[in-house]
Amino acid sequence: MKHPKITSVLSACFSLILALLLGPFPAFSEGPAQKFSVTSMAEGKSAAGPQAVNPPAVKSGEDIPDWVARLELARVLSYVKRYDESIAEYQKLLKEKPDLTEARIEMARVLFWKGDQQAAASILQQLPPADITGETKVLLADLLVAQKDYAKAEPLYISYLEAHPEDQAVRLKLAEMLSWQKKYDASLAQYRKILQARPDDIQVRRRYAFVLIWAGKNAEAASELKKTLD
Amino acid sequence: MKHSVVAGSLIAIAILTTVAYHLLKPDWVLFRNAERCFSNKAYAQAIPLYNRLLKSGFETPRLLNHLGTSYVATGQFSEAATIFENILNQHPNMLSVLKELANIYVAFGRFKEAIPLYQTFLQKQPDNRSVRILLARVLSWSGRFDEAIGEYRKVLGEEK
Repeated sequence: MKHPKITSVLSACFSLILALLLGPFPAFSEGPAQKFSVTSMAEGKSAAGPQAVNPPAVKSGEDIPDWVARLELARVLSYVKRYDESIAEYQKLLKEKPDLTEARIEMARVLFWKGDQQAAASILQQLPPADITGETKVLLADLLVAQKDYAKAEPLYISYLEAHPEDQAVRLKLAEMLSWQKKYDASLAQYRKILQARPDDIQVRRRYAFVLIWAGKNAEAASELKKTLD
Repeated sequence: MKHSVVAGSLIAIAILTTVAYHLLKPDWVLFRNAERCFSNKAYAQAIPLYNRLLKSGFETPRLLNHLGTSYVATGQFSEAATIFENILNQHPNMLSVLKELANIYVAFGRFKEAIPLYQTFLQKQPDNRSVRILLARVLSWSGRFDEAIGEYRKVLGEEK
């Protein structure tokens, strides 16, 4: 053995060739096609080692905290009209997350559906005005109307309609409320806007006609009522 | 002189080995390339490589899983669903695929098909809270509110 190093290098090379010819690099042994473990894949482990990437998910659902689950549970309970259970879940949630305005508003809505308008209004009135937006304004206004607190309800409806002028259902609520307060001109103005958007709405036109009668505009009222009979 | 011969021989062996490997194992070479693309998140490049392998009959669960994942990553959900369905036909209890396919069904609004997949998953991993919440959501979206409530309560430890 004059050249032991050369011999060992050559020997290693032949071993390498043999291994490559027998099996795939880098495993050195091919085996069946299913050489990658199904179990390891199922457990999220990878046969490819540290370079393997986590597969992206369509919707991971990972790390969903308990409070989110409770909020969703409270909502689902309200869908099936299990209002008391729903409110109990909202209360548990608000103990854990007292600043969760979204939950407070939803709980007020459930209380409203349950018929506890006073409690619902009380919750909403405790919220900072900045948190009362969009449909929450309408909900609070509805609750205030139920308590005949028209003065507080009116600016809420008006503010909502400034942002959603196309919402004729809310405009009708405002028009009716104004008529109850004998603010006939303001009420009629709202009715006219509704009828401009929905000229064929017979029910709205009849209500408009009644407000005209209350306002002493009988001839105009008769003309409007006639239109509903044509 | 002798050293140069040995060095030359080693280089020749290395070249011959590489050539032989590419000639004898072209599928594995292609698979390695596809896997490299996948690892580098070059999913669009990985897809045609995986598909070439499938056409040549080279099919492993890993390949199918990565192909399905690549389809998901590139937004080709219906192709992904087909791949994952094929995997599940062969390996019905493969958890990662069950969840992935269920997620795709949900993305397509195919809630009825997603529900049993999540349920099968939960039979194997009953303590997986996230999947149970996903199941509860899908049950709720399907109008199966009472079942959804039960699942939410299990997540919150209020029901066994």
